[in-house]
Amino acid sequence: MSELVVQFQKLSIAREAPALNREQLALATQWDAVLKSGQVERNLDNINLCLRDNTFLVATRVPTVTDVKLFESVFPLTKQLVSSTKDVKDTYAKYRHIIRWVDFLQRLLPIEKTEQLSMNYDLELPREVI
Amino acid sequence: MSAELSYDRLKNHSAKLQLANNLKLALAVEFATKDLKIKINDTVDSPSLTTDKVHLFDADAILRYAMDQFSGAFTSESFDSLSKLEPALYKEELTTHDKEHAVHALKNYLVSNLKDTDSATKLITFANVAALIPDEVAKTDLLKHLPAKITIAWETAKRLVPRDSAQFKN
Repeated sequence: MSELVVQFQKLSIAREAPALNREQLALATQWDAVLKSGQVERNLDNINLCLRDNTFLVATRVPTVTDVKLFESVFPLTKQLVSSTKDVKDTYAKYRHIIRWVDFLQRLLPIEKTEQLSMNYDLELPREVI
Repeated sequence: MSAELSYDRLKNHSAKLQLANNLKLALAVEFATKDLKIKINDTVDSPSLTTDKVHLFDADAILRYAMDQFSGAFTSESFDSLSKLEPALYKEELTTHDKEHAVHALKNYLVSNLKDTDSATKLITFANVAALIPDEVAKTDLLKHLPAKITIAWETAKRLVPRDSAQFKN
C-alpha cells in the first residue's frame, strides 16, 4: 500500500466513506483497470470527462481510495502538462476538471508545498462548451 | 433499467485489443442481470455502456456491471489479468514474457475451470487469454466445451473484429 493511501486512510473522511452502490462499484472497477493496465495517460480525457460530471471519480460526495490511487499517477502527469507548455491557459482549459481535483487532493493529503502543483486561480478560462 | 452498449470498432485499437474488448462486451450482453435491458448502439465506435445513472468505457467494468459482480475484482487472478495480460493487448508485438503470462493464465485459471462458470473474473481472464494466444487456446479443449452463452459471445466478438489482410483470398 502506498504512503499516500496510508495517509488518506487515517483521515476521518476515509473512515466515514459510505458503501458504494452498483454504479459506483463499476466506476471503481473501471479506474482500477485503467491504473493496473498502465493506461492512465491514455485516459486523461476520460478522467477529465468523469470529473466534469462528478466531484470525485467514483461519483461520491467525498474522495475515496480510488481517487487517491489515481491521483498518484495523474498528479505527476498534470504537473508535467502544466510545466511543459507555453500555453498554460490552454492546458488549464482542456484539463480544468482534473486540475480542480488535483488541487483539492494535494491539499487534503497533504502534499508538501514545494511539491504541489502551483495553481493560478486568477487565470480567466473560456467557458466550457458541453 | 435500460442500457446502450457499443462495441469496440476503434481503428487505433489492435485486432487483439478489439477481440478482447468485444468478447467482454458480448459476454456482458449474454450474462447481464435480468433487470438490465441492453440495447446495441451501432452508431458509436468506442466501447461503452451508458445508462441514465452511469457511463462506462472500460470493457472489464462493463462486464462486471452487467453481471453485478464486483467481489472478484481484487483477487490474484484479477490482478494478473489486469497488470500482466491487459498491457500486452496494447502492444504491437507480444514479448516472450507476455506469452508466458498468457500461457500461465490459461493453464492455471482456465483449462479446468471455465465449464459452467458465470464468474466475471474468469470470463475476463478468458477474453484476455483468447485474444493474446488464440493458437494456444485452440490446442486445448477449451473452445470445444464452452457453455452456450460464451460460445455465442465468442462468435459475436470474432465477427466484429476486422479480418487480417493475410486472410483475404486473391
